[in-house]
Amino acid sequence: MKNTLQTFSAGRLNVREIWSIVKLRWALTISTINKSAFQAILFVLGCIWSVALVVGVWVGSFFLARGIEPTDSELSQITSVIAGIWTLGVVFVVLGQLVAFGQGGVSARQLYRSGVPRANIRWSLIVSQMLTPSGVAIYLSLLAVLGFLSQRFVNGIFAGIGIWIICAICAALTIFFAAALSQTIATLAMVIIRNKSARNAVTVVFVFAIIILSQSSSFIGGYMGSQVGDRIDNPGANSVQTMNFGWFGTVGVFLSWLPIANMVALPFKLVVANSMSALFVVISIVVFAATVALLMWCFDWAMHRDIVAGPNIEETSTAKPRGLGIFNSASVRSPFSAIIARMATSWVRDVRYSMSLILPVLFVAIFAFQGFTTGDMHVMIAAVPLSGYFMCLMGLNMLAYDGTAFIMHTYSGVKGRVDWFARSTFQLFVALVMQILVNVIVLAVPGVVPQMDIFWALTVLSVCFILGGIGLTPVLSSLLLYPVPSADQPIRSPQGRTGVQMFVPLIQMISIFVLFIPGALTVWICMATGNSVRMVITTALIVQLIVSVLYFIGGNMLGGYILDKRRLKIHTTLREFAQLMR
Amino acid sequence: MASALSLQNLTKIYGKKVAVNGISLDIPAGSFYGLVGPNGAGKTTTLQMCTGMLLPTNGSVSLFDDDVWANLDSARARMGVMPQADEIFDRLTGQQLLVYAGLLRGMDKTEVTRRAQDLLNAFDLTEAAKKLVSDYSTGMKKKICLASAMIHSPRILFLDEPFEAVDPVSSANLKDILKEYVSTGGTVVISSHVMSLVEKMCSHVAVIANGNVRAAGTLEEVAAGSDLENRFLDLVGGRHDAARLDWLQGGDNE
Repeated sequence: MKNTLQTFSAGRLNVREIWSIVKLRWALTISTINKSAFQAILFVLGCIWSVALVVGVWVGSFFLARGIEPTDSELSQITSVIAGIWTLGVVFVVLGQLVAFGQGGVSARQLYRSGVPRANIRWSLIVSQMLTPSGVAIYLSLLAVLGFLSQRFVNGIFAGIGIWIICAICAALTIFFAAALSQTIATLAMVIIRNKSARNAVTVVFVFAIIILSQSSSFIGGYMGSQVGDRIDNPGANSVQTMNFGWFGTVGVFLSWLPIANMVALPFKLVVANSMSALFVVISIVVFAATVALLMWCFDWAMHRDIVAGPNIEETSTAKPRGLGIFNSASVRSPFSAIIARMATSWVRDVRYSMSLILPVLFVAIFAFQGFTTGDMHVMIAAVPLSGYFMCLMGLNMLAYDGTAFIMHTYSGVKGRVDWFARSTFQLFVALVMQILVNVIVLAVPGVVPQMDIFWALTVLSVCFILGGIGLTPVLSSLLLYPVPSADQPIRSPQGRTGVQMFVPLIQMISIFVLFIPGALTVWICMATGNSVRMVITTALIVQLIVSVLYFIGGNMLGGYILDKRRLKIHTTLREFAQLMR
Repeated sequence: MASALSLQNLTKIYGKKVAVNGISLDIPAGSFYGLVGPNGAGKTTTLQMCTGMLLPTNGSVSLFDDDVWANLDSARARMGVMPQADEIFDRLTGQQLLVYAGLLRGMDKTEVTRRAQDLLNAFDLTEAAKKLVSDYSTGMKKKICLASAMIHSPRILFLDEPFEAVDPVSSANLKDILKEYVSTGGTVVISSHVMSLVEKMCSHVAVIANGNVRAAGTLEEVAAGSDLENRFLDLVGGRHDAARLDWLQGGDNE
């Protein structure tokens, strides 16, 4: 007993304790699966995806390696391209974790309260992330890419099993670095969001990062597809013709020196016995070790700040006193208007809601960037319908965002129909305001709108998305709930959320397409009767708009009915979600 | 006294576990009724079934002779259920929360605003009225939860462990408000395992253990001439000599 206490207070690294926490993470995953068949299916799908990834990458790498000429220029190109792709992948995962999926797994706060030293919490969180099915799959895939491709160039002392051992070590270090980076950034984000100014500054950086990433990934995706396809189809093709990655190759050379990707590049440097490669290896190891030490320090600092800081400081005593706010409005005098007022207040004070308002603006920025870089500003008009589509998604899973506080509506005897109509009305208002904002930006930028007819048609289409999508939300959200981060810890994802969060919007998307069948049928009928294109589109949009209004009304009525029928079951689900976040 | 709440053979079974085993109770109108029992006795489950929050496996609950589960809307209009701290919208200020609670019940805005202010005064929350509830201390949250359950002036109040984690001053104020409410004809049903509180506050008590009622009636009837705490231990059982944990020592042996 005495020894155990000393170990805790000294904060020494304890491998057994770290391993116990990793097993705890697995136990939590299994517990989540056992509680819900839906979660079990998603877990199995995730495992199938992981196995498919590993098999696909092993087979693809094997055949790709066969098609490579073992020349210096090929080696250089492959090193830089793999370093570039890997870096983009890691950045994508880190941003995805911050913007959408959150940081999952066991809570650092809970472990700290249980007396686990910070060093052990830090290591266990990193190792836990590495040892998920997707973490293991990515490791095995990376091993295949490094192993098969570097083997093609190897000779001398690293030939044979030697290069595979080096690749195994480098892949493990690379995955470790990615896990440490993602955990550190997510924990730092928890500290940053406590301060409004820092949060705003970081949001701007995020937006730019996503814009650049979205452009890079689409460019590289298309380019790589053609390159790799050519390479597999024509194993003997001329290397200069098929392996020219232009600026991306140059960026890759730079990235291969950075700790995020230098361990990926290291096996390719080791296969060449010259002084430059030796220098690269030495510098890589030193830079990697130094950066890992810095990351560990940052992680530790941020985790400590997050654990001991208590409630969100910005929202607490430093905030100026508030009156009744929107509740003071003369129009707020019924359960319907009260729920709208409460929603409006929550949106202002809860970062989880305000995040969803970034998406439409983000798409405008992405398309504007693309328009400027390609010289074709017409692409920016795509932001009009996309804004509507994304705004209709924002209310999805709304009851889970309320959390157990939703039970207050039951205590008060609020009818499901009233509840959903109020929520949807507020959602409709926000979506339309955002739509107007996007439309004004699109109209203000010269050269975006080729014809006003197209602009109005896309606007009506977007309104159809909004009405239909918001009408669908009450039904889906009363049936399918998934856990969400709490308002206090918006970056921390509850166990079992990530898979469901991808799955439910997919159902919503498919359902929205089904809702557009009347419009599609109208197009078909109008075209069959020989109308002009203008007439066809106008008629179809009018029909779809009318039907979408009906969807809005009908969806809320049906959603309210389902909510009343499933109310007690929903309470149980919300209480279970709250448990996941504790 | 007429019954405010009547439970007949109320049962709740989860799989093979019987949480509440055919409880029958009559809670008189204008009484301060305590449901007492050890942890896991079935108190909270019973309260949830009485308030329309948990469907009974069997049996019935009547509120002023109306079946709760057959007339949920009218039952909810007449009852006030104190929410737990995580069952309120804590991104609202205390004042906003009370107004919200009243408006959700369809009350007149002017009346709700007036009552909200009265409740804030009564619960010593006037200074904190414009602070977010998420910033409240545990005791303040308990008070705002109770206030939100009272805003519509219910005929019966259900409180689950209302004084847990509340400081003595706040607790005394809460008790005064509840006593005043009972003196005007209101009925209070609380669950608790703090015997001193029940002895001091309640006019009636039911001792529950393992989902069964072991004794019910006025305080005097249940105590049966003994100290209520001792009587409770007799009814519930499970007390044994202090266990000796040879590893648990305060440092004298070091």
